[in-house]
Amino acid sequence: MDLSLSEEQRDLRDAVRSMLAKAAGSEAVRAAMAAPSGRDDALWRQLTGELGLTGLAVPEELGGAGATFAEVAVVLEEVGAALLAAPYTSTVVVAEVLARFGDAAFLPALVDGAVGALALAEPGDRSWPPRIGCAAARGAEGWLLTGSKAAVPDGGAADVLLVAAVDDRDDALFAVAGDAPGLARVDVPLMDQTRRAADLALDGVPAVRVGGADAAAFARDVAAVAAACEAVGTGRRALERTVDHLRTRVQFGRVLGSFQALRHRAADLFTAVEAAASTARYAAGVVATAPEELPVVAPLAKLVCAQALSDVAAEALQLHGGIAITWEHDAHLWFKRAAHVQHTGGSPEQLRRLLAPAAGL
Amino acid sequence: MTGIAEAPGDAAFRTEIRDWLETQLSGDFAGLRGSGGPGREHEQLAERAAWERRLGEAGWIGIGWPDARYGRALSLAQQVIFHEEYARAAAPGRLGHIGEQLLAPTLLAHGSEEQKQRFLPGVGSGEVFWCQGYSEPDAGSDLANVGTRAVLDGDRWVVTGQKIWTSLAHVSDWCFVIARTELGSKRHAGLSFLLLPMDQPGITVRPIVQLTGTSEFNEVFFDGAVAAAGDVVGEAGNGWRVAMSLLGFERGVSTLGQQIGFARELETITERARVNGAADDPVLADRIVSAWVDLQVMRHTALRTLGADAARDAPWAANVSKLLWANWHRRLGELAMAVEGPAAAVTSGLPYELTDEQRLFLFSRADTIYGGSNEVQRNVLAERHLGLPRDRA
Repeated sequence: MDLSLSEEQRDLRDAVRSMLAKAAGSEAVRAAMAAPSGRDDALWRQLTGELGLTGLAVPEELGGAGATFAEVAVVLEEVGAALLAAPYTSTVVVAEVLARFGDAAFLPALVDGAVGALALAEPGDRSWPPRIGCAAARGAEGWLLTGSKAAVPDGGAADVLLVAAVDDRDDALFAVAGDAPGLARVDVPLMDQTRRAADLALDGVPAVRVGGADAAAFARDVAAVAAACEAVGTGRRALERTVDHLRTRVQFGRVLGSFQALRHRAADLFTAVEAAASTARYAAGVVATAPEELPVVAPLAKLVCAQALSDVAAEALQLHGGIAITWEHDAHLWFKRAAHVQHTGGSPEQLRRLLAPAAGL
Repeated sequence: MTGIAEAPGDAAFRTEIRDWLETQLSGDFAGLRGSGGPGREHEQLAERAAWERRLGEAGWIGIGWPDARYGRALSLAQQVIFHEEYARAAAPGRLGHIGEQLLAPTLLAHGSEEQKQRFLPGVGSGEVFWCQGYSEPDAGSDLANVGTRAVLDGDRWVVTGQKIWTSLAHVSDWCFVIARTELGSKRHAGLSFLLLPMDQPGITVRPIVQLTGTSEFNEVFFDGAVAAAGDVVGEAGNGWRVAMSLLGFERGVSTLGQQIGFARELETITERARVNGAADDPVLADRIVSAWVDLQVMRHTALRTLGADAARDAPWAANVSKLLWANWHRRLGELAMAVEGPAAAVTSGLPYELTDEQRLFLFSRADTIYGGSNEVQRNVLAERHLGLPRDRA
């Protein structure tokens, strides 16, 4: 596994970056934030059907591009950089799980613009990995799910939901159609308005079993890796914008960036972001080539990348000065995104506890 | 997944070096495991000199030198494997690494054919040790402020001045020195890269007793010391460029090996914490996990900087890697002491016999200072990679 970006990956990155620069600039993000759907539908159709970006790692025979999660990671960084208000991350996670665990029925739709969502956490539970109370029972015509899920990312718009539930033995993972009978969804208002989430109430919802505890764990880990890659993109962009500010803003008759106190902070943030990016890239490679490493590498990547983004976003606010406290400037969007990533999908403390055995404790 | 992408033959190469090290370090050199290295350079000097000759005889010095007439021009992957296995075997800290990893690449890039033929075989055989005469009392982080002068007098340079922080000068045969050869020149101009034998009347070496009570750095005084007129590398006056190009030779092949050593240090501390109860303190346990996490991140970063497209993908590698490992290792020293608890205050004996934890704690303070201090690394990152202006009012 080569962790330096190849020429093809750079081309992919540049293409997605220039497309998002045109179609998903700050104004577009703000328009999507205000829209009830939380996204620009035309842009979503372009990203999915036309460019096939949700199907990058889906096998060709199922309508995808047959690349790997390493290429998805390249797109995720750009999606994070733009703060793209669209269910890209949720959808590629679901596609990766379905491509690996066998239920191919939903994949062609996911390549073609359908939205996926992963439903793990439940109301009132603050543990990580989350405790699963949602119950799966065998009905006459298949599995039926009953229970509830809290603040499922992109759960409101999802056409396919992967739901963690307990079957007669253990945790397992089930696929549920968005329009399945017995499924009720209520949007949850989020501090990070570039995202959408919904609470789910399931009352005997028909479901297809995707896999057992290993599938549920794989889904959780891929979601962590995706969140890490996206966070790297947001952090890198926030730092670039902050460095631009340091390069151009003049105070005391000189540009801010000539003050060593500020340059050194920027250099430390750069170090943190690129180190985190290395771990995110390693984790994305592991999804494709060594999934047995995921139980350690996925929480590691999420921990490190969420922290790097949090550090950058906090410093971006401080280094931009007063303008960063306004609604108009993007600094609060980075800061809110950082908080969202940091506090969902396992807190830093929980993730370190999870990693303690790997660390020899 | 381990290491970087390996080619056919790399596995056999790994077995070869592993077996060779195991044989040597179980035989004549069994007492050398874990000896030497930063903070321990005072240990077993004669035995380690013999070890260098053994390495040279077996062809393990200069494996990465690109010119096959002198070295072996092995692939990046095989160089990494060598360093990994060397670290895994806890083979002794090198005495010849300054000649092998700093001087030789400089000669191969800038030296004359005569210089290569004269100096490289001695380095490659492990018989000739070199030290690096760069820093001065008034030229530390500000290296361009070099004041040591060299004047051409017939067929020889006469050198006057002082170097400091010269690692292993007391066991070295030769020294490469940056000296000002153009009278009245300033900053980067007018410097030359000279080669001087250490065994001469004009050179005095004075060990610096460090905070550990031991010595590996020295002051080196030049008082009419002599270098042959032809022993200038590159052109006279072009020494800054020659000296700086040396920094570009490090592609991080030894980084993964260094991290194996770091992992061993962390494992020792973690095991100690389990045994003495420190790990039952959730705050200390959290610090141990954080250290482990950051070591994984350093490993991933090293793998990235060894990738095929690293020159484009990670041009900042040297600066970022230095900041990461120096800070990490310094924090590890603090963690080692915290795990010891009150016992951290007690040495293992008189006159000043430090515990391993104390030695790590104390000597790791040097990590963020030498080889380009944290502050220098941050300035380079800011100026070269973030495009921020120099700090000039």
